[in-house]
Amino acid sequence: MSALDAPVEFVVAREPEAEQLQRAARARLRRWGGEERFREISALFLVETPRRLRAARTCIRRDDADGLRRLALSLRGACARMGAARMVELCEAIEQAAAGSQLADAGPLLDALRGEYVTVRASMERELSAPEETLCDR
Amino acid sequence: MRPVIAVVEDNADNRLLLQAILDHRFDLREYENGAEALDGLRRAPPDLVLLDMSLPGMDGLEVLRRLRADPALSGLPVVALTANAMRGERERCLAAGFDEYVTKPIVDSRALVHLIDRCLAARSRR
Repeated sequence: MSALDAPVEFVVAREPEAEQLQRAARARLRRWGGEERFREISALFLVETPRRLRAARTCIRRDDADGLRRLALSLRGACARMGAARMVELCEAIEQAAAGSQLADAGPLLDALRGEYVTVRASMERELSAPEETLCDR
Repeated sequence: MRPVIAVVEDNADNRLLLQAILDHRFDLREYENGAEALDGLRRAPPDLVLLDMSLPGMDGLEVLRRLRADPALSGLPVVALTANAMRGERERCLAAGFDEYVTKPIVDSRALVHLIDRCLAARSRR
């Protein structure tokens, strides 16, 4: 079973500060577009991120530095929108590795990014499965 | 009548975000790549264009160059959407012919709406 498929209950709880950043970013999205649009954006993040991570792995395998840089750039924007600060840092590091054609360095960074995504996904899924009236208080 | 904003952005999540911020004030038309955008803009010019700099294939700079070379579209206000927050990026965008620039991720929705209002007002004064 890959990390991406791991059940939420297996994910180790992380530091509260990262969680707070994510909650704040999600609250901002709710303010901007309401609950329905927030859920659409979140659902798209949860579908697109694993797809982009797989595509990034393919780029490394094919030695496609430019493709990897572009994917890391897209991922960085999506992660920043969700307040996933550690993912943003890892995306930046992958972008830099790709820009310098250092694809060997990008592999471990991508592994770390996948691991971090599992944590972020768990936090998002907890929030998305909570009743809406409790979300309004956040 | 509400102003029409063309959003040229290949990422669906960025388009959704712009909908969330803008569609209560503006009518949005969305394009996923430069060629599609140029075709659509020529058929029905909007009031303003939000143009992603890093489109695949024809990038934002090339789309802008073609817009500015088209007499029917050359006067359109065009705002660059860029993930590059480096010092000097704004100057680089303005020198290339953009009217304004916005860095992604967008964190201040009011600032974006204000910037669009400012560009639209400047256009109406021309």
